[in-house]
Amino acid sequence: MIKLDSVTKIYNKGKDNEVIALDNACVEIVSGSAIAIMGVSGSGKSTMLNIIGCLDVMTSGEYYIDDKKVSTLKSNELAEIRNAKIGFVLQENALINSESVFENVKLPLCFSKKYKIKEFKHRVMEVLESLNIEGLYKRKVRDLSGGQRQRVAIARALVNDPDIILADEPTSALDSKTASEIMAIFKDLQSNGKTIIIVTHDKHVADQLDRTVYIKDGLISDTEE
Amino acid sequence: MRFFYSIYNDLKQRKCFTILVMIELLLIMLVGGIYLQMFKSDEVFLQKYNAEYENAVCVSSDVLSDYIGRDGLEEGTMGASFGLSYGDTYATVINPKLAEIIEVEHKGKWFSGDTSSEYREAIVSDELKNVYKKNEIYDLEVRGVNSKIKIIGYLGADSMSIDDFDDVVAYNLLFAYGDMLVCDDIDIVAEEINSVIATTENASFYIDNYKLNSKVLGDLYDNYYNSSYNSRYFSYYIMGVLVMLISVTIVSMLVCASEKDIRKNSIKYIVGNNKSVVLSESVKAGIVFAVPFTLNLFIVSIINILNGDSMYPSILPFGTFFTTASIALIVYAVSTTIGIIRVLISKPLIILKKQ
Repeated sequence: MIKLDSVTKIYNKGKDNEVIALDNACVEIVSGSAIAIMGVSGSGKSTMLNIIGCLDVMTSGEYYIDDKKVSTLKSNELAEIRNAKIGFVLQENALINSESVFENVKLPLCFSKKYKIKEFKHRVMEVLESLNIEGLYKRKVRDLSGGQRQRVAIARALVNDPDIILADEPTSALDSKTASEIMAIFKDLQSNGKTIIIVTHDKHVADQLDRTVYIKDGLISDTEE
Repeated sequence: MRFFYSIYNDLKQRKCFTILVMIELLLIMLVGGIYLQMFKSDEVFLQKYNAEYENAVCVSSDVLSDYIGRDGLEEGTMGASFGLSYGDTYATVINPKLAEIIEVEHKGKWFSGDTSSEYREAIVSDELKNVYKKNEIYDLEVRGVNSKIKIIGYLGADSMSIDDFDDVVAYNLLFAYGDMLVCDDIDIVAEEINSVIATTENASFYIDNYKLNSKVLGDLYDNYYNSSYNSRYFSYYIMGVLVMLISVTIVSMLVCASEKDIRKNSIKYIVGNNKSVVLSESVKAGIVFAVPFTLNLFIVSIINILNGDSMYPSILPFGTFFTTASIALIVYAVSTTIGIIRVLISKPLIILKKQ
């Protein structure tokens, strides 16, 4: 379970350009559920996602993953969590365009303690097959379509078999058909026990998930089931 | 293990790494070729002065040392004997503490090696006097060439070093014969007989088997030894600098956190690699730098050994291969530091948003 307890994030604290990105956010996310975080640009939804993903640290408050207080962990420990427990699907994919699909998906394995080096190839192909993109493994990312890249990004997020999948606007750059396919993948992952958290401004995407958390000006304004 | 695997993975994906090594190999070949050409150019240089090979008498400090030692002389003469020999003419001066200048047969004519009366007296062991008797002619074969040796006198040694001894004999022979030939390493010859040149204008000299006019030799000493000799090694130095700087430039461009690297490092950070990416960048730079540097060192050492030199280039003013390497290391350190700083201050998510 993921729990944010009075989490506040302030950028440039004490300066003239101080920004309160999150203000006393309290959220509990049950394992295996799928939630959407919605809000306009600058509302703080990406900040929340980054804190959940251990990419950013909160100014105050507490954050728990499976009852373990994350806020007290050192950077190496946070990196381990990012590698083992969390899979990121970032906005615009954040893939290495000059490298192959295989190399991109393999990347998290290089830092993983879960798989041995000789298992890398098998694991990567296994994940690619689960997303029906095994035929693309040698292709360079730059040669792929938007939908294919998104699948590759999801594959990279899944390769270490994390419990939590975080996706930041995963369908924003896709056509409706492809977006639907991607969302189907997320639903499928949820059915396999993954916890899915998607940041989106698309109501249609949010409606497909179990719950929606609305953020406005850093405050959680509403929660909708 | 995983740390090095990730480094290996990164390097493997760099096509430029392969290109870098290939370029470096080509540069090494070029430097090696220039090295060899430089050594060879001595011959070209000497030939330019109408040098010609001919059997000749030469002054060499170690020509017969092994032979004389094997011939039964007392130990202690080994390595300290002094020989005048080459081709079909020999004159042997054994260790001054033990023996004497002998007479020389040169194309059927006997020459005395010692014309200075003050060196007539010498301290010679009784055993050696029994082995090599005065005025006796001995047959000796050296390097496959037969020669005749006759002891004609003794040379005092207490007041001389072996180098002085060489000079004395050389000078005496020159004064005595005018056309006696002197051979040795070019720098040593030039240094030792410089004073002789001034007084024996008509003498001929052989240097490394090449016959040269004495006046030319005087020019050689001034021009070749002083400038050409140093400039030869200075050229090596320049080439070494160029090779290393080119290598390091390529390394810096490819390894030490280019924009692409920073982006990739940001992605790595997100998928679970901590800021140890900084360490991996510096290790990568070290590996990619070490490969050409080590190859350079190896190839240069091999070339030196093949040319009979010591394993490493001799130390000269303005530096050697190692000094050029030091310069390269400084450049590497600076570029790596810059790269590391860039990675340290980069914000992963911000970097990734810059598509």
